[in-house]
Amino acid sequence: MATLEIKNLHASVNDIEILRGIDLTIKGGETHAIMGPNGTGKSTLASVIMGHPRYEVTKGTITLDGEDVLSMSTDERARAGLFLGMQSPAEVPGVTNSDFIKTAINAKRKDGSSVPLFKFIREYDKAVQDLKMREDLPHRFLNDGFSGGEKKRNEILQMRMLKPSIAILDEIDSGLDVDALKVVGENVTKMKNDDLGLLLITHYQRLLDYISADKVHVMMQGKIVKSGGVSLMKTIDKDGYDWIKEELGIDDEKVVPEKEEDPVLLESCATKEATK
Amino acid sequence: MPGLDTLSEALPESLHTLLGTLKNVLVFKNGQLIGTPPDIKGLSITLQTEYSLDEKALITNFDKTNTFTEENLKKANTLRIHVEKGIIVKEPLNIFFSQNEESTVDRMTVILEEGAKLSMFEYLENNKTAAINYLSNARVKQGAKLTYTALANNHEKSVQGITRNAWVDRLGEVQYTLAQFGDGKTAHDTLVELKEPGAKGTVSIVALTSAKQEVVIKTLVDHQATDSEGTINHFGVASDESFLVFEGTGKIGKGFKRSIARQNNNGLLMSPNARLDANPFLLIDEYDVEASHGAAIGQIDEDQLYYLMSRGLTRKSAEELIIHGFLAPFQETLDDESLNQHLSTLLEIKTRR
Repeated sequence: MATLEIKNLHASVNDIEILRGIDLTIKGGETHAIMGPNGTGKSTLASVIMGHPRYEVTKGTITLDGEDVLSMSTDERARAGLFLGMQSPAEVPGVTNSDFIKTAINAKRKDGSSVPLFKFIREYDKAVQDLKMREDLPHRFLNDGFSGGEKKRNEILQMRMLKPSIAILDEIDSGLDVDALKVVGENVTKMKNDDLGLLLITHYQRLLDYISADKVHVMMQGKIVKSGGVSLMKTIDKDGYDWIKEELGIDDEKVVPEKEEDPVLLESCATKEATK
Repeated sequence: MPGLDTLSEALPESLHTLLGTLKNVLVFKNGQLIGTPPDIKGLSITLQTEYSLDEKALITNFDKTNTFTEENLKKANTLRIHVEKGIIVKEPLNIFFSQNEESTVDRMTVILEEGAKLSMFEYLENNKTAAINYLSNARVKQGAKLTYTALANNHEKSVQGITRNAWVDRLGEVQYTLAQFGDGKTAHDTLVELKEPGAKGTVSIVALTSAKQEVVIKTLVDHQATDSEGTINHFGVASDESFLVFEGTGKIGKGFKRSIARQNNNGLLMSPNARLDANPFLLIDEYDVEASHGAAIGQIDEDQLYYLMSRGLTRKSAEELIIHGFLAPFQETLDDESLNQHLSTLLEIKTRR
């Protein structure tokens, strides 16, 4: 059974501190949900755990079964059993879904052998069916021209094929309609077992109707400010986040206050100015 | 078909597996045919040693970039492939040009009569210091279709000029899919002339450069009739300190209405010292046409790399997968599994250094 332990984690991007001391322990079999308004550092936490090169960890530790995760590269983290279902997965034209997932499974196998082809195809086809995806998915290029919902389902499909010990799903519900959300929810719920630790990151309680969570955490200003059980989620659903802010005396929950955008002079080259 | 042993002897060992699986194989070594050519109904393969005045004019008119001296022209034999009217050749013809002489000229002429269809694969190979001139001319008559796939794999100390020309008649179609994988300095020219209404030409080129190699790829689709359609796709991967140039031109003259000229250039730079230039030209002298051109050159996308690595792929294998993706349009045109395998192997060797 895997244990992911995050202690006093601080991380920054471009010298702006986004995470300001996160403590969180996820064990196999548990499902945690991190909730909170926009811009409070939820997705940053997911990216930092997976080792996105953009973020710099300035303080704190992350360990997986005692092993130092922060000293591992992104691919080593994945092979150690971490998985991140991304909010906006990259498109990779020219690389087919099945080639990619086959390579990924083979990379994870410790003895260096390849996955038996028939077993792979059977498993893959079943997953495509269960997630109600297009039958030609294996031959389509990785996320290339996929709709938002298809991309999200493809993330779940990869999670199912790669069988991680700790999976983080970053806003897997955004961009999904109710039917797709149901399919995703059912599939994730089916994957739950005593060996899988799940971390769901979401704005809305909606996702938790389909995937039940054991523990709910609320993030504000780059910290977990409140943790609780299902009842906390229900209160948030009913009353929003304002009561928490009041209780803790927080004015602005965001990590970085929103800046007013500089006006763009339309008579000069507008696109050029806007992309500066 | 000649015995496999004879053919194997003429080609390097790396190609023997391929030889074992491909059908309709023709080997042309140092200007000579090895064994007897395959027997295909309606298709004739002959060796020409004399040139008609017409053909001489063809070379001098359309191949100004190559230096064909009288002397080496005399030495060169031309492999002539002729498909009779209305004949559809079902299985691809596989032609290997192999060189181990220092300086050679190889020439091939392909003629498709009206309504004929041929799919062919051409392998250019050499393994020592050499100056190589290769010229292939194709004549695609009314309603005929030529699918022409080629792979050039030449030695690092060889210098080559590779020129392919096609003249396409009414409703005829030529589809070039060319891979330039060699290690030597190369000038690579492709010309498609769409001579009559409804003619269609597609040129897709994949070029890989490494070490201190210089490769210049020029492609011209010349629309000389109405309703003609031309497409140019250039894909390039430049590694080490190599230099790769793409120069594609879509040209539509006045009066050739409703013609379509498209061009796309995609390039990956694998090292800060590599250079890749793309010059997509459109020369249009008519209003009623559709034309587009574009170029995207850059390093491997960091987001793509991160995504693949987050699934457990090492940086190296993620890069390889992305480069492989570049080949997808090329490999789609190859039905043969062993050929695809061979291509993948070459790709790995070429991009791993």
